[in-house]
Amino acid sequence: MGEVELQRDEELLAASGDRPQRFVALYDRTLPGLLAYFARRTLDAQVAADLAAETLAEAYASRGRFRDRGEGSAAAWLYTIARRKLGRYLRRLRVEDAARRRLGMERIELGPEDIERIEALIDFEHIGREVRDAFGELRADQREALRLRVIDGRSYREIAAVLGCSEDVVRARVSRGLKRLAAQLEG
Amino acid sequence: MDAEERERKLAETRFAAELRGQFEVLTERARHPRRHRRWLAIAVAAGVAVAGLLGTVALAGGFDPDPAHLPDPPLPAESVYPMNASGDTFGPNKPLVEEPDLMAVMATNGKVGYCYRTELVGSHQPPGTPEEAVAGNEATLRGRMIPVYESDGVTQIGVFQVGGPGSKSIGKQADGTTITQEADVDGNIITTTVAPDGATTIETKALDGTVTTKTLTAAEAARLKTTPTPKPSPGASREPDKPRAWLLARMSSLARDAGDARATARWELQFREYLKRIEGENTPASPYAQSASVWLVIMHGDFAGGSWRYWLLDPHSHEVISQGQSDQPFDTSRIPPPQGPITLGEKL
Repeated sequence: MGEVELQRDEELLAASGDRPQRFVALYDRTLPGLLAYFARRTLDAQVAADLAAETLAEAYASRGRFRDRGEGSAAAWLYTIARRKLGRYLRRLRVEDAARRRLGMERIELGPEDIERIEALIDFEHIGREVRDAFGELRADQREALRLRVIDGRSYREIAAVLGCSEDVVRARVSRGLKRLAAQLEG
Repeated sequence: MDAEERERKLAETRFAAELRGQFEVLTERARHPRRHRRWLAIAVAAGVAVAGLLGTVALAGGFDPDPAHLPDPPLPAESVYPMNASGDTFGPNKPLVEEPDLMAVMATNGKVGYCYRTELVGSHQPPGTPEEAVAGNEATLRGRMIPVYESDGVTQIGVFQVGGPGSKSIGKQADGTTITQEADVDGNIITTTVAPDGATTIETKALDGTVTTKTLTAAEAARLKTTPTPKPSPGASREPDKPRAWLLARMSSLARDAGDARATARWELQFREYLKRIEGENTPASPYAQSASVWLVIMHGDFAGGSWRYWLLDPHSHEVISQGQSDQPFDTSRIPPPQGPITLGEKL
C-alpha cells in the first residue's frame, strides 16, 4: 500500500496545492461518486459526465482555497461545488464549461458503452414508477396540459385550441402541474 | 450487480480514463521551472489581492459526506436571486449558495449596478506562461474597468474598477527575497526586490516598456525608508503641483456652485473605500464597500452652510461620487495633501 492510499481525502486535497499529482489520486477516489450523484439527479449520462468533469476542473483550479476541517470536509467542499453546478444546470439546462475552458481541458463525448455503464447507476424503473404515480395524482386538466406540452411538445397556442381555453390558462396549468409534479417527486 | 460494484466499474470507462489523462497533463504542466516561480508568485499574490477586493464566498459547509445522502439543490423557482428577462440571476453574492450571474457592485460613479460574474472572475484565471503572468499582473496593478449594468444586464450605467493605483502584489521567494509590485498614477509599474540582506533593486517599467533600474545597498535602502519625501521649496516652480486641467475646471465649477468661486482647494488622489451600503431588497447583512481610486478635494471658502466642503471625484467620469460640508473647522493635518493649496479663480 503506497503513501497516497494511506492518506485521507482531506490530506490529498490539501497537499495537492503544492503537489498537484495528489489531485489525480483524489480524482480516482471521487469520480465514481460524483458521476453517480449527477446521474441520479439529471437522468442523463452525458450531462452527468460533463457536470462531473466541470466540478473536478473547478475543484482543481481552486484547490488552494480548501481548508482541512476534519473528516468529511473534502467531500463537503467538493459536493458544494457539485451542488452549485447542478443548480445552474437545472436552471438553464446547459452545463457550464468555464472551469474546463480556463484549464484548457476538452469536453469528452461518451461512447455507447460508457453511456450504458453510467445509466446503470440510474434506477430508471424506480424513477419511472415514481413519475407515473405522481403524474397520475395530478388534476385531470393539468395532466392533459402537461402531456400535450411536455410529452407531445405542442405549442401553447395549439394546446389552447385543442383544450378550448386561452393560452394563459394553458400556461398556468402547465406551470402548476410541473410544480406539483416536482413537489411530489421531491417528497 | 449492486450499486457499489456499478460505481467501481465506472473507473474502468473510457470517459474516466480520458478525463484522468487530462488531469495528469494539468498536474504535469503545474510543475513550473524555478525561474518562472517568481512571476507566478506575483500573479497569485495579485489574484489574492483582487479576490480581497471582489469578496469571496466560503465553500465549506456542514454536509453529509456520503453523496447519496446529500440534499438536492434548490429548484429553479426557489433561487435565492431574482432573474432578469435574459434568464440571468442578479444580486449581491450570498454565502453557501451559487453566485449570481450578475453580481452587485458599486460603480466608480457611485451607482449601484451589476457586473457579469464571468468578467469579474476573469482576473482569477491562472496564467499559462510567465509572459502572461507578467502581463496579467501589470494589467491588474494598472487597473481594469468592467462595465456595470442595470439588472437587465444590457443597460450600462458605469464601470467597476479592479485593481489600479493603491493595490500591491507581494511575493516571497524561498530564499526570503521579497518582491513588491505596484503601479503609480501614470501607469508605471514599480517592482521593488528586497534581498534577505536588505539589498534593494527598484525597477520602473513605463507604459511604453522602457525599464529603468536602480540598485541600493542595504544601508542606502534603510536611509531611503527613513528619509521623508522632499517637498518643493516655496520659491521653486509650481509646475509639479498643478492639478490636471479637468480637475482644476471641476474644482472651479464646484466652488462656484457652492457659493465661493475663489475658495482655496487641496486635493489628493487616494485609493479608498467609500459608499458603504447597497440599499434595497437584496441588502447584504454586512456593509458593502467599494474600493477605488478617487480624487479627494477639500475646499475652504465662504460657502452656504459652512466654511469647508469636501468632494470625492471619479477620476474617469469626473463625476462627484459623494460630498460633505461643515461649519466646524476642519483639521487638514489629518490628511496629508501632497498638492495645493491653490486659490481657485487665480490664474496658475
